[in-house]
Amino acid sequence: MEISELKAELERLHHASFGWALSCCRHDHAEAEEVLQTVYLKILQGKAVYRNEASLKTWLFAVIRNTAISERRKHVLRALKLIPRSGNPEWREPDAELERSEMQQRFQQALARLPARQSETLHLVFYQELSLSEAAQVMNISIGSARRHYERGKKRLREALDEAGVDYGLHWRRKENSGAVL
Amino acid sequence: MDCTGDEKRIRALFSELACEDQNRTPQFQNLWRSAAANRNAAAGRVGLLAAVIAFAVIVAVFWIGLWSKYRSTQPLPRREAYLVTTPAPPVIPASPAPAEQQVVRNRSHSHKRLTRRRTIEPAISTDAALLSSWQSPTAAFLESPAQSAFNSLPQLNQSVEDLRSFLPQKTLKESNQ
Repeated sequence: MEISELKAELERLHHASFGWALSCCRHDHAEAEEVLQTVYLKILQGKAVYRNEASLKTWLFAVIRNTAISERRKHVLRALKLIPRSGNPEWREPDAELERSEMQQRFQQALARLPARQSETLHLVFYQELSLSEAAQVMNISIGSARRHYERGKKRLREALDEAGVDYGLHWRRKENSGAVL
Repeated sequence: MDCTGDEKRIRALFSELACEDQNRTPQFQNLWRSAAANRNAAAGRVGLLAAVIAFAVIVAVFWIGLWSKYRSTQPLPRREAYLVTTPAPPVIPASPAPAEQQVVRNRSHSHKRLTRRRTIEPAISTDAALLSSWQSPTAAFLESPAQSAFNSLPQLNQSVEDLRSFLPQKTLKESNQ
């Protein structure tokens, strides 16, 4: 694939790529940005080459995941110094939508309590809307392992959300149909 | 039903998270340009490093060539100088090592080397003459009274003449008659 075509595809997948990088970097915005930039650098240098063995999205997400792992190893001390919550105060939601941000913070806290493989599998299936086989390719595991992580992750996330009091059912209905009588 | 409800709930939460993340996503062009700039900088560093390594290799090869040429142009007097430094002949083979090390250490002082070579050459000829005339102290034991006979050619009728000396005078007169 020509670099110009690849660049256009990368731009199309940029939002999804950044979301996946955030998930791989425990929602550290600065680290996710650095990881994504490193991925683009690898592609430009020819260190990461797309060989049409899988879909471009699957290949790109695998590169992002591997890069995040290697970057985390390099910057272990810096990661230990960071605040655990997703970080930059400049990106805080306005006060009018504080309830949703708080819910999202609880949701992210519940996600953070899951093992990495389970959290990644749920993100790829529900956030990125990939199939289980595609998620298995991204994570470089078997489909059976991916399914196990998916089922156990769902169960543990449900328990964590119940403990955190994330009653998203009501809020979700209100958002979809504001005039509904509850 | 519960599973479906849970999945819907989880999917909704993830969808909201996706919307939030979309607002926080940095511009693609900014990241792409930064990556391209880093690639050019890295290529420049690699090129500079390659140039430095190539220069170091060339310098090393040049010095190795000079060193080997210097070693090959050193004549025999260096070995004879080792001989001069040792007094006893049996010890001569062992002497080259310390003298050679001394010459190696003083490689940069060419003037001292030339002066030393000039003083050594007359001594070398004198010692060579002494060595050629050297005789073993036990050579006298190898000499015998009959050595002259071994070292000379036999004469014709020599045995007859010798035999006559053993004969008495009377017999000699009769034989002459």
